[in-house]
Amino acid sequence: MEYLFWGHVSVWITIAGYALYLKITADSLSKKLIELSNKE
Amino acid sequence: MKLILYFITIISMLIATYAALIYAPKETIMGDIQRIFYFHMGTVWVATIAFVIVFVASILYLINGKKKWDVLAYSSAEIGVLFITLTIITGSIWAKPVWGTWWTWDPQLTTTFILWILYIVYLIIRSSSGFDEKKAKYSAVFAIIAFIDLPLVYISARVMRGISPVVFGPGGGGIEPKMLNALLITLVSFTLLFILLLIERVKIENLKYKINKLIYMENN
Repeated sequence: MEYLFWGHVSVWITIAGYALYLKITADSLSKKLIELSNKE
Repeated sequence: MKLILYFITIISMLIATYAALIYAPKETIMGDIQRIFYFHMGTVWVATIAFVIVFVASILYLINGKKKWDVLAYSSAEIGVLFITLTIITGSIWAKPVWGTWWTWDPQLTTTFILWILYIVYLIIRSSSGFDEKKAKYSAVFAIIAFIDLPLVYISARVMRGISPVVFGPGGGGIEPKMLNALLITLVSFTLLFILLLIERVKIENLKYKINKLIYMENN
């Protein structure tokens, strides 16, 4: 049961972590793009 | 539209978890630990789709040189590496109680390990900043060569019969209907997840390209 638990938890945590990383990166790049466009 | 996809993906992932942990019957010999198989297959499935996309997009990039194919190949490779890593992790977690070891150099595991290394090398080649046509071309050639290992992972389990279980195809043990339903639900939900992650990853690459273009214009 312990193996089963960690098997699923590792998948969920990794996917959630990656999705969060994508969201934070996209937000920060969008902000940077707006700043650069305004500078133009 | 994207919000709907987010919603459907999260719901389908929850349903897949329910199907794997509760709906699917307990396997007679391995017991509950076999339930890892569904998510394990989900990660294998996504990694396979991702690497097929890398292969096709790399060929298309070499043919017409359009940046969008290079962006697609790179984005898909990153997701592929993430999911093949999860394949190895879930496989090891399953192997420990069933085989008594976390890892063994079985033909299928070895070819999977090589596949993992090859695409990590691809990501390393790609990781230097900016869009360089030469780098993109070399990466595309590397991705096409690396793809040769993918069918070997499938073939190795069937031809060089190690200890990895074969469920589908010739010589496979088969699967009972409720288990098959749980597996299909998992594959559908992981496919949705892959589409969502790929859309977000491609968006990041396009943003990086626009920023680099603006910085270049500013400096010249």
